[in-house]
Parts: sequence; structure tokens; C-alpha cells
Amino acid sequence: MKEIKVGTENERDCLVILRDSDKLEMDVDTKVEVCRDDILSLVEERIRAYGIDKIKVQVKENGALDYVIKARLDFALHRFTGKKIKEEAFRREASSRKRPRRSRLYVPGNNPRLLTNVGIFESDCIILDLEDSVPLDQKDSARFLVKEALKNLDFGETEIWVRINREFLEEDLEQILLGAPHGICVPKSESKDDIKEVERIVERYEKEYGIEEVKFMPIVESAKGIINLEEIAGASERIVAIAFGAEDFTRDVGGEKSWDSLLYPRSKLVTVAKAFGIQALDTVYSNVDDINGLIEETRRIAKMGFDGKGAIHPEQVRYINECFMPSEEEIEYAKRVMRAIEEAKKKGLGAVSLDGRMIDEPVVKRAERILRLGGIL
Amino acid sequence: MKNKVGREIPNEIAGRKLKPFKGAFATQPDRKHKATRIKFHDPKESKVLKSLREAIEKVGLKDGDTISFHHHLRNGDYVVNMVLDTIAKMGIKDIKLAGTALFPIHEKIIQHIKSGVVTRIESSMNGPVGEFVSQGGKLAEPAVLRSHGGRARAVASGEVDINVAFIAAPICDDYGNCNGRYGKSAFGAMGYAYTDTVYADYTVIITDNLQPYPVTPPIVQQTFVDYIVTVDSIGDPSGIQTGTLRITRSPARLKIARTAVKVLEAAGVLKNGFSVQAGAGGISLAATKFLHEYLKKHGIVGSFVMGGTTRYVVDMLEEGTMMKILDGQTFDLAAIESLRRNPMHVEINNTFYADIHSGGCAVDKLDAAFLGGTEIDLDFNVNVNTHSDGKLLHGIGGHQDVAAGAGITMILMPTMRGRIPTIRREVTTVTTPGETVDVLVTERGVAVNPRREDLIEDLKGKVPLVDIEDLYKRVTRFCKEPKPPKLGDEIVAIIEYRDGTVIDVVRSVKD
Repeated sequence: MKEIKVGTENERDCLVILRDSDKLEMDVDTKVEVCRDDILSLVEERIRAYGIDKIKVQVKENGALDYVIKARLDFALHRFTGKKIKEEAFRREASSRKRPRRSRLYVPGNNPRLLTNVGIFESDCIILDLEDSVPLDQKDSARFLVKEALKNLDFGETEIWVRINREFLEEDLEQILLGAPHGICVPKSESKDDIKEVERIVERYEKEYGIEEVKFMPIVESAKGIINLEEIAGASERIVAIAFGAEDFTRDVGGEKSWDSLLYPRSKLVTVAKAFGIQALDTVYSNVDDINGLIEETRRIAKMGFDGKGAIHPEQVRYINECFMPSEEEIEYAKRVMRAIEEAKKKGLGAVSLDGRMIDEPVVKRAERILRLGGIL
Repeated sequence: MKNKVGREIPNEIAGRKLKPFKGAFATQPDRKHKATRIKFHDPKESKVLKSLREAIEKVGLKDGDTISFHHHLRNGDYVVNMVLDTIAKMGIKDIKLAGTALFPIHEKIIQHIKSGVVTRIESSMNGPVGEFVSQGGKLAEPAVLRSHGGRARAVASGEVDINVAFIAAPICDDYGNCNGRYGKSAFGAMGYAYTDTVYADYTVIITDNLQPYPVTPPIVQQTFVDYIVTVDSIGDPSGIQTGTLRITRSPARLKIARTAVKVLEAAGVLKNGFSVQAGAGGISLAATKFLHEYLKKHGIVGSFVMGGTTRYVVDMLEEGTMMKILDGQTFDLAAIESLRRNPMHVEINNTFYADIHSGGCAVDKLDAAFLGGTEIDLDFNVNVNTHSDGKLLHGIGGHQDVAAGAGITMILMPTMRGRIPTIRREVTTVTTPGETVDVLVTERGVAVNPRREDLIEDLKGKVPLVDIEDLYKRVTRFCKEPKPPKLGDEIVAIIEYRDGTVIDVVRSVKD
């Protein structure tokens, strides 16, 4: 007898069990009686969508939202029937290259409790993770969950990314591009070919699904990746940022994680990124309890020219954002730079100076960046 | 008839004419306080009796009488069960139970309801007793729920006409002076008991710690006490300090707490002399802590903090961000200790705290309040009594009183609980009218009652403002509003407003 089990009974999740039957049987176990009918109609709708009329479905939900129940049901039904059903892709506007990416918050793609609220912490980017935080035996079900999260949740103004698995490019992209994320994080990027491989698949699904252009964020986390940074950065027009992964890099070179030991890869990454006109994003800070350490490291990488840092806990986000906020003096100076430029334009002057210093192109660019970060431009 | 918040209220129920809610300050008192029994005590006789049974015999408790309790022992209370068991053994029936609140430890009452010992309840019900009553057909009359201030008002007016008040005390002398501060069962402030002892025909103190005369301070006073009974233990200390008093660790809830403090900052009220009601729920506790940190950082000294007193509130007093604590209920050891030794930590009773039919109550002096709720509707009416399945599971506490009194009443609430949205087209029960609620703070933005144009102006650009209807739509897109629960016709409880009018009724739940 065939039996398929998907999901968990954890908080905000639901467990779906499918069995062979000679009739349609639906059994819903919920703590909120008033929701039973709604859940039953959702179950029935999904069974019909997969063209089944004889099956025993058991749903045990523990405060799960509809998108979670649907994701669990669909994956279970997909495994039960072996069918892929046609579905409409989500519509989301493409993101812009220049938007701030100070903080990017990673969230495990297999955890409904954490997924549902990930959009509220005011991070510039969210990264729904299918890779390191999802165990191998949950990769398949996480893909469905992330897709439904992308289609249903309210992420506000946040830019939404998915970190995919290099081992499951085709499977991951087929599902999650239906949710039209703003971008794809390509982990363990080591060469131009790595990016090109992802791009070919993405292009195919973009056309098939009719979604907007998906941006790329290669994550470089090996010695080889650092050596090949130039070819990676130039591999695709879709790349808007390159991120550094310190954990894997340290393992790869057999070193120990410290400011000194990571200085070379950081310096190279920020230099190459800026040479290619894209953003440089630093690694996550893995000690969640050490806020002072997070602040110190973020200040240092911001001074190196990095544009953002990764967060693995929502509480880290506001500290990261603050570290990238320009000071009041910086904002004041940037405003004066912009005023001086405007006045010079009015007067038709070519060269502009402020406080006896020449204002050239890089100074203006910096002023613009400060005003953008300060939310003024 | 429909009342001011649009709820259908019957004209009369169980022989009682109901006055519909007309507005937070619309109904004036129309009677004098209850005339109390003049007491007499022969100094040659002892007030201290050998047993509870003897006390119940001496006060002449009979079928149909009303008895009261206070709930400072919370979920550790032994006294309610002890008294009801004795009454049951004595064969007395048809008792009206008019305590301040019942807890899960009082589940045994269900047996006394089934056997006809208890036939009527006028009390907050937290947990199983409320759930039982929700089923319908259990009580002779609908239960009546009142706020702290509303209950003090009703006891004084005689609407709750108490025959015998049974008062648990962790320390007491042989004349009946007692307080809640000392002894193995100490619980802190004893303010919920005070009004009952003044207006009850008889007051019986039940204590596990009889001490030489005089016990001071005499929070409950000898002049109102008739008898004293000593027992081995009045409560379980582990249940007295409830387990709910932990600051939330949920990042979403912490965000709500931080945003609440930002709202106060933007509203311009965080200056010297500021006063606040601190709640004891997880989010309110966090908000209280963040408020303290803010005041400290900016060198601001508030005038007073009120509400359930916890160590976070005590920190404010001891670290100089608040001048005084007004304490009606003390939740943890740190707060009990502070009440014992800090003269700026002041105990208050519920009349002083919140009675609208008085010369003025402390809630009126609040600049701001952190409150919670189970649901809120688009007119900012708040439900604190029932869950979305219609079950009656919580008391009102000071919710209505504080909301009406505070300058800025804030509801701190996540937009979802499990798969249920908390912002609703229609709430299951209206406890607190929207006209007394100013701001809803959620993890997805801050909604200000349109009535408060001034606040909207102050908050613009400083906190993430949202229209409550937009927020409702945004959330219910992925967190569907459930169907209303299937309810029976029977009214199982009346939700009184603090002035004695009826703001809503609770109907039986069909299973």
C-alpha cells in the first residue's frame, strides 16, 4: 500500500499523509474548529487539481497558513501521482540594479514559522534558502514551500532572493521561478561557466513562465572562486552584487576565521565588484548573541567599501542597517556637494569646488550614495 | 436593541433590565452606594475561629447567597476550592460566585455547578470554567463579566450584593488586619480585596500565618472583618507567580514592542512627568523594558507607572526612570520585595484604580497604556474575552478602564495567531469600545484611530503608519478570515462596560 508523508506537526506547519483508497476520504485535524471547512475545501480543490477522485488524505495542522497547507498537499500529491500540473507564475516587477542591499536576511526554506514573518524586519533583501539550512531529505518539499511563500506572502518593499542548490539547479529553478523572485543567489560560484549554466536555465523558464528579468547574486566562498572573481563578475548582465561566504572559504583554505585571515578575499572581492559596477556584499555574522562584534565587523567592512552584510537572525538586521546609515555630518556634507553642483550648473561652470576642495565625479557619486542610504535621494 | 458599538442587546434577561452601552462617558450614576450592615464586635470574644465550617455557620450563609473572593493568588489559589467544598458539604446550594477572577486551578467549580452548589457566576473566567460555561445550559443566569473598575463600582452600588467575602491573606492578626506582603504565601498588593470587605455583609479572612496584633500596613482593616480562620496553606507559591511573565523572544513581537515606544516618542509624550500603564503580557513586558531603556538613555523621569507589577516595572523605580509605582497586582518576587521596602511603591485598590463612578480614578491620569487583546475590528473595538471560536476564555482585567482613561491607548498585537488573523471585519465579542482605543501596533505597521487626527499628524514619517483597513486586506490575503463560529441562541455571559451598561453578550458555542 502506498503511503506518502510530507511536512511536520511543528508550530505553523502541517503534516499531510496520503494513502490508497477506493473512495475519497478526507480527515482534517485542526485546533481551530472554525477553520475546518476552509481547510477541507482547500484539500478538495488540490485533489481535483491533480485529477484524483480516490484517495485517503489526512491533514494535521498546527496553526499553518493556507500557503503552507497548499505547499505540503501539492508536494505530497505530486509524489503520489508523479504528475506535474500546469500553474500560473506569479507577477512581480523586476528589481533595480542600484537599490540598497545593506542587509540581507537568510531564512531556512523548510520552516513555515520563520518564513511567514521574514518580510517584517526591514532588511533590504530576504534570502529564502534552499541550500545549506535545508537538510537533503527536505530539499524537495522546501522547493514547494518556498514557491508558495513567494506567491502568497506579503514581503512589503523588500527585495526577495532564493539561494538555490548547485546540485539541483533544474529542479529548484523550475519550481521557484513560478514564484518570480527578484533574484537568484548562486552559491559556490567558481567560474564564468557556473553562472552561464544557471543563466541558461533561468532564461528558459523566464520565457516559459513570462516573468520579469531575474537578477543574480553569485556567492563566492572558495579559493578558486576568489581567484576567478573577475570572470565571475563579468559573466552576466544579471549580476547586481557579489557576496562573500566566509565559512566555506575558511574551510576551503584550511584556515581559521579572523579579520586578518579574511582580509585578502574581502579586499579582492570589493575591488573587483566595484570595477564591474556591482555591489559587494560581505558574509554573514554567525554569532547571533554577539551584537557588539557584529557592529564592529560591519563598520569595518562598510569602510572597506562593502555595500551590505548578511544576517542569520532578524535581530541582527537593524544593527547592520544602522552601520550603513551615513552620519548626520556626512549627510550634511553630501547635501552641500549636491547644492554646489547645481549652482555650478546654473552658472555654467565646469569645475566646482567646496571648502577649497575640488568636487570631481567620485565625490559626487559618493554624495549620491550617502543621500540614497540616508533615504533622502 | 442595538448599542453604541452596534451589538444586539436584549432589553431584559433573567429578570434584569439591561442598559445598552451609550458611549464611554455617557451614562451617569443614578443611585446611592449600597447601605452596609453596621457591625458590632464584643471585645471579650475572639474573631479567630477553629474552622471554615464554623465561620460559614456564624455568618449564616444560606441558599441563594452571594460570596466573593479576590484572585491575587492567581493559579496557585487554594481558598476558592476550599470554601466551595465546605459549602457543598454543608448542603448549601444556589450560590452566586462573585469573585474577581477564576483560573485553571478552579476547574473543580465545574463539579459544583453540576451539583447545583454554584448556580450563578459574576466573575472573570480564565480557562476551563469559562469554556464549560460557554457550552450553554450550565448556569441559572448568564454570567456577568466586569472590568476591575466596573466590578468595584458594582460592589459599591450593590449590583453585586455580597453576603460574605472570603479573603485569602498570607499574614493576618487576631483582629483581621492583613496585607499580602509577608508570609510563605505572600502575593504582594491586595487591592482587589479591599472594596469587597467594605461592602460585604460579612468578611471572613482565611490565613496560613496568624501574627501578633497589629499587622501593618492594614490593607484590609479590622473594622470590616468579622471572623478569621487559620488553615495550613492558602496557596501554592509556584502558581501565585504565573509562568506567563516572561519577555517574549519572538523577533516579530519584539518588533511590536519597539515600535510601541517609537510611537510614544513620535507623539511627543516621553518627557518628565510621563505616566504609563504597563501590561503583564509578553509584548507589553518587552515594551515596558524598552520604554525604561529609552527614558534612561534620555534622562527622562516619569511620574508613575501602573498595572501588573513585575521586576521590569521595579527596575524603572530603582533606576530612576519613574518616581512611583501604583500597584494593583504584584506578579513576581522582585515586585513583592519592592512593595515591602520602597515607600514609592504604593498599593492601590480597584476603586482608586479604575472606578468611573467615583470622584476620579487613577487611570484618568495615564498618559499612555500598553494593552493587548484577542481581536480588533476596523473601528478599533477590541475583544479580550472570547477566542475566534466563540469560547469565553479570558477576563476583562483593567482593559476597559485603562483604555478609557489613558491619553494614548495602544493595543499591542500581532496580526496573526496561528492561522487566524486578529484584525477582523467583526470581532467575536466587543469588550472595549473603539472610541477609547487610539493606536494599534502590529509587526506590519501602526494603525491610528482616524478619530485621533492629531496623533496621525505627529506620527507621520516617524513610524510606519498604515490604514487599518489596508492592513486587514494585506493580512487576510494570505491569512484568511475564518467563518464566524456556530453559536446557539442562549446568552451565557453579559459583558458589562465599566459604567454598568452592557457592551456585548456572549452566546453559547455549538460543538
